[in-house]
Amino acid sequence: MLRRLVFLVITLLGASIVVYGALFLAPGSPVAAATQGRSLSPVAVKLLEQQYGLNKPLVTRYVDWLGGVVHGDFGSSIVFSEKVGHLLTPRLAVTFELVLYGAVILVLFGILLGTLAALRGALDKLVLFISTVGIATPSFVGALVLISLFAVKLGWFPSLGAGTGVGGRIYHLTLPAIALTVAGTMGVARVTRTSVILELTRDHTDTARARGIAPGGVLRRHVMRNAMVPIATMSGTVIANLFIGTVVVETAFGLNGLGALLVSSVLDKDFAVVLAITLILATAFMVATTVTDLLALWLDPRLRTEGTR
Amino acid sequence: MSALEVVPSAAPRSRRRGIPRVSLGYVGIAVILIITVVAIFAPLISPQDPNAINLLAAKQGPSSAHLLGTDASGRDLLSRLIWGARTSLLGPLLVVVGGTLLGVTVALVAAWRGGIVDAILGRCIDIGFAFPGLLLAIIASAFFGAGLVAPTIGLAIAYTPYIARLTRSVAIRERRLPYISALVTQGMSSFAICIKHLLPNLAPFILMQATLTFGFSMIDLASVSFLGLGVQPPTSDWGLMVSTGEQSLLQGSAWESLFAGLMLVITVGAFSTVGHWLEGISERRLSR
Repeated sequence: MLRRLVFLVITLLGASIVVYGALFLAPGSPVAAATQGRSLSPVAVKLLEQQYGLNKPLVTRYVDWLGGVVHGDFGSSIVFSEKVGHLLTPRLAVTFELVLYGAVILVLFGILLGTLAALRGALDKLVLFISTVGIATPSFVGALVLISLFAVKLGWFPSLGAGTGVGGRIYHLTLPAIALTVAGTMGVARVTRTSVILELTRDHTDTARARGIAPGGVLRRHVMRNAMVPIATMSGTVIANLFIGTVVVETAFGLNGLGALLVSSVLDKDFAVVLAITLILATAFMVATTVTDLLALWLDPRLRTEGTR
Repeated sequence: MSALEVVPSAAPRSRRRGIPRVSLGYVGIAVILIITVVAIFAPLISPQDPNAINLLAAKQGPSSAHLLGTDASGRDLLSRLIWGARTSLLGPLLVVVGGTLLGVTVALVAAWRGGIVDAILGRCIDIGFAFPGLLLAIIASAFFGAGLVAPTIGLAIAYTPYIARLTRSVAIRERRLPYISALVTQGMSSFAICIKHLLPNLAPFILMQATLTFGFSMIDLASVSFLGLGVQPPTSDWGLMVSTGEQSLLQGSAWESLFAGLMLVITVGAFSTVGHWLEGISERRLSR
């Protein structure tokens, strides 16, 4: 547990050094982005560089920046001339709500579809086909199909914006959450299907049936409990990847989240913002993966003794 | 998406549907071959210049003059799809070649040397898992500027740990087989054994990995293009076409996004079907 936490922190530190170094060695200066093509006198450029600390050596800047981050200060955006923290706070909520909504859809429908496919032979082929198509569908293609169908043609859902209030937010985030999770839901459905089929063919399931336990009880207490480890691992991995998927989906639906801001900041070379969002998303991704690993250990005690390497 | 391949698939698939799976694999191979031929011979097949603008014929549906219709600038969609196959296939190809070269090299060194080298490389691989592919591709775009090259490099690096980890485990199993120690006894050099004997025996497994990676990286690269950080207009690229079609789509004319999206789904679907088919074959071979 402790080792994992230490590893997490070290990896994040390494990641921050690489990303920080890469961004500030990149061609094209941030000052040019701030001035947007206007030519400045050398004195003004010096002043700007001083204001954003661009004239100090790279290592000093990194240490300063890291010290700020520890205190919750991600520096200032050179494009918005605002503290990165202020810029990100409202957007953080949109992104995390989207991932949460997506995670709920993913787990519910993934397990439901997979179990149905495993239990009902007639549905099996249909689910296999749908899942092959679903896994091959990039989220932005799914997004545009949903927009074209439910927003433009039928007008049931809004195509843009994040909405206000709890109800409005859920209403506005429904299509994005579906688009975000199409591939993942199908992936979870597949793993559920294989793992339930595997448990159904095992001896202990036959024994449970022979003991006269009702089919529902067999499924819940004997099949699902054993099938859960691969399902949980898959769901966790897919949920971790949702954080990165938001970048695409937020752009497609015009949502004001972290992901959409990341894209515009990359185009604007607004490196303080790029750095902050990259680190937030990478942290969320890694925390989700670590939680998934721990969840698998909790679900299956056998892994605890095997897993020590 | 990239994580799909690390999850162990436990159930014996072949038991339930051995026969349809085989035929599906061949269908996938046929689709891939057709698309590849179209991409290679794009200049010969394409009915019109993909970049010829004709504002009088903008946003048309399918007709005899334009078999799949036109985009917002009146460019022929069929021609753009055909030319788009080139960029859309080239990117993933480069990712797969780069990622496989790096990943297999790391895996072979780790498996052959073992001990401390293996431990250090294993740690590096673990750290590599911390970077999701798409995020790395976006950072690479920030570093090198938008285009095909930057996200391709980013993704090749991002997929390396996945390829390395799986190949390493198979290589270690292979290394324990008697024929390897026989070769060592004969005095063959480590390098020669790895290249001439170990690598050819791992080839089917590596091919399976490469096929699956191709599909995943195609989605990633198309996503980067969709975000405007990849291939730049007026180059035709499927991901980019989905994005440029969004404006027309909101106004009720969905052809451009629809066709480009469909091509992506078909191609990625073909690659993942073939990948899973090869996976099934190699699993059966290993269990024998």
